[in-house]
Amino acid sequence: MEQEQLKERILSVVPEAEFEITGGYMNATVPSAKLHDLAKNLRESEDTLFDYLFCLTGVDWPDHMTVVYHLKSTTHGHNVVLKAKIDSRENPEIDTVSDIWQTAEFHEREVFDLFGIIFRNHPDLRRIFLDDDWVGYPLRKDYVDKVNIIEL
Amino acid sequence: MEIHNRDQTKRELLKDFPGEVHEVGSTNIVVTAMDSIINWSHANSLWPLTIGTSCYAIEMMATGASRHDWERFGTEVARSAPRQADLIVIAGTIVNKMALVLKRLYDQIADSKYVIAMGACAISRGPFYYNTYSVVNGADHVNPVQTA
Amino acid sequence: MAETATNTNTGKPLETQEYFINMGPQHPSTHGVLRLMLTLEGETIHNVEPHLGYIHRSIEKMCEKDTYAQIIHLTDRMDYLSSHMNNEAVSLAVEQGLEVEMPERVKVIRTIISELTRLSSHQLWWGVFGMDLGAITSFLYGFRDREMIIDIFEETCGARLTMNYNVPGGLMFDIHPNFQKRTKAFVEHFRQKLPEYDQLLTGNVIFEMRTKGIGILSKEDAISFGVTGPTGRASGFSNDVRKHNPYSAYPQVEFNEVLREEGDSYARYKVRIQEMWESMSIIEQLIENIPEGDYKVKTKAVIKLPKGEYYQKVETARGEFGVYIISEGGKSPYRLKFRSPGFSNLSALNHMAKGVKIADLVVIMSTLDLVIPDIDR
Repeated sequence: MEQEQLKERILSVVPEAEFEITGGYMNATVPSAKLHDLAKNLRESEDTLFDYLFCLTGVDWPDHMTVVYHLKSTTHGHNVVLKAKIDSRENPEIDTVSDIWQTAEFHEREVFDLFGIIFRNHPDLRRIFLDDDWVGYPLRKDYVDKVNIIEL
Repeated sequence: MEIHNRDQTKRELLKDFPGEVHEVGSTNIVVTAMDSIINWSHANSLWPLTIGTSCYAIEMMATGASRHDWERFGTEVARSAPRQADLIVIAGTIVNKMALVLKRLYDQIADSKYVIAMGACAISRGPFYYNTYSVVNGADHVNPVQTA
Repeated sequence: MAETATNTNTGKPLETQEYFINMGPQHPSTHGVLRLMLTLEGETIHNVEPHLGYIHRSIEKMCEKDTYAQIIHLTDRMDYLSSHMNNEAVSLAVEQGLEVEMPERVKVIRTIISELTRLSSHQLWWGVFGMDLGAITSFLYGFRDREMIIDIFEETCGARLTMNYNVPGGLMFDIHPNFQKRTKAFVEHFRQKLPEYDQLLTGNVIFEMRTKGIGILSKEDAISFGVTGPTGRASGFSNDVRKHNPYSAYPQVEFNEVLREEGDSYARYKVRIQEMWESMSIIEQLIENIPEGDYKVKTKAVIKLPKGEYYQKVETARGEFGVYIISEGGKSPYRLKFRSPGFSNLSALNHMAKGVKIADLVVIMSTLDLVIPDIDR
C-alpha cells in the first residue's frame, strides 16, 4: 500500500493522527488511548496486514513520553512507524500489544524496566534486566545515580 | 607476573618454585628460566573455572582450541562447576547483578584458589567506565584477584 | 510415566508435582550468563522463563553521552561475533543522516568483511553446537578454520574480535596488501573443508535423532515473535535484510536466500551450513575486483547529525540488527535504541521448548545461536 493510502487508512481509524516522514519511514503519532485499537486494526485488516513488529521502544521527552512501534507487513512489504504519545511522565500507562504480536511481551518488559511505562493487561510485567529492588528508571533523562555512574 | 597478595603468595611459591621472587614497590617480580617454569606448570596443573560473560569468553575458547591449545602447558580441562576447579578465569565485564553470582562461585571453590581477571573490562570496567549504571568497577571489588 | 506409576503398598497412583530448576547463569550450554528458570515434571519441560540482565551494561544510556565515533566501540561489544556488521549498522545510519554516499571501494570492502565475519561466526557456532551435543571434534575443526579468518582481520585492522574497522564515513584504514591474496586462499581452503563438516555431523544417526523434529517453530509464530536470521529462515520466514533492504555492495552480488520449511533444529543447522556456501560465493564475486579509490570520505572530526530520526537495519549472523537514532542536532544522539536479533529470538524459546526434555532444550538453545551481551546490551 502506498504511503498516501496508508495515511487515509490510519486517519479513518484515528482522526487526530499526525504524520511525518523521517528516516525513510512514515511516522504516525496517535494518542496512547487509541493505539491498541489502531494496532489491532492494522494487524488484522487484509489490505494492511502488519504482522511483523520489528522494533518497540520508548522515548523520554521533556514533557511527555512516547512508545514507538516499527511495523512491517511480510505479505505486502510496506512499513509504518506508530508513535503513541503518553501525556503523563509521572504515571505513564498504555495498553499492551502483546496480545497482537507475541514479541511485544519481552520488548514491553524492557521498556517498563528502563522507562517505567506501565503496560495495562500485560501478562507478566516485571523488570527484565535490573534487579527487582532497583530504584528508578535509568533511561529517563532525569535519572540520577550517585553510586554507580561516573559522569564524564 | 604481578602478584598482589605478596606475603601469602611468597609463602606458597617458595616450596618448589623454580625461580627467585623479588619485591619491587608494591608488587613482586619473578626471575626464572622459561623451560623450568613450563615444567613447573606441568607439574602443578590448574583446572580453570570458566566464567565467560562477554567477548573475552570467545578468546578464552580460542586459547583452549586448535591453534593455541593451553593443555600443552598443563592447564587441563576447563570446568563449569566451581567444586571441580581451582582457578577462576573471569573473562568479561562483571555487572552488579552478576557480582553476587561471582562471589558465590568464588566461595564454592575449595582452597587454595586463584583468580585471573582477563581483559580490561574485568580489571577496571574498560570501555564501560563512564555513564554506566550497572557495571562493577573491577572484579577485585567482588573477590580477591591474584593476576590481572 | 507418571500415569502408570503406582504405590506398591496401597495400589493408588503416585502423586507427582511440578518443580523448579535454575539453569545458569553459570552453565556451559547457556553460552554466557543467561539464567533459565525451568518448570519441570520429571524431565519434561513445562515452562522456560529466561532471566536476563547478568551482562546488562547499559550501552544505550552510555550512547546518549557519546559521540557517534565513540558509539562504534560499544557496538563491537554487543554481538561480538558479528562486530563488523553491528558497526556497519551505526555507520550506515549516521551516513544516512549526513547524506553522504560511500565510495564503491568502501562498500565492497565492507561487504567482504561482513561475509568473512558471518563465516567465522557460523564456524564458531558449528563447533560449539557439536560440543553441546557431546562431539568435541567439531569444536577443534571449527576453531581451526576460524583462526584463518581471524588472521586476515588481524592483518588488516589489528584486532581479532572487536575490530572497530567501520567508522561513520568509511573505514578506519585501507586493507592490507595481502588481504586479497589471503582471502582467496582462505576461500579455496574452506571450499575443501566445508564438506568435512557435513561428513562429521550431518549424516550421523545420533545427531539426526537429537535434532530432527526438536523445537519446531511455525512460520506464523516466527513472524509474531520477530524471530529473524537463520533461525527464522529455517521456519520459512523470508527476512534476509540483504535481499529485502539491500545495503553496501549487496545489490551487485548474486546469492540465494536460504529458506527451509521444517522449522526444527535440523533445519536451522542446515540453513547455517548452506549460508556458509552462499557467503563464500559472495566473497568470490567481489574479491577479484575491489574498485580503486578512497577508503573514506571527509567528515568533520565531531559529527553532528541533523535533527530527525534514522533507522538502519543490517543482517548480522544472528538476524536483523536495527539501530534507531533520534537526533536533536547535537554531537550525541538524544535516544539510541539497538534492536538486537537475539532478544527477539530468545522470546520464542519458551514457545519452542514446551514439552521437550532437558537435553533437547540444550539443542534448541544452541540452534538459536544466542549471544548473551547482544540480548542484554
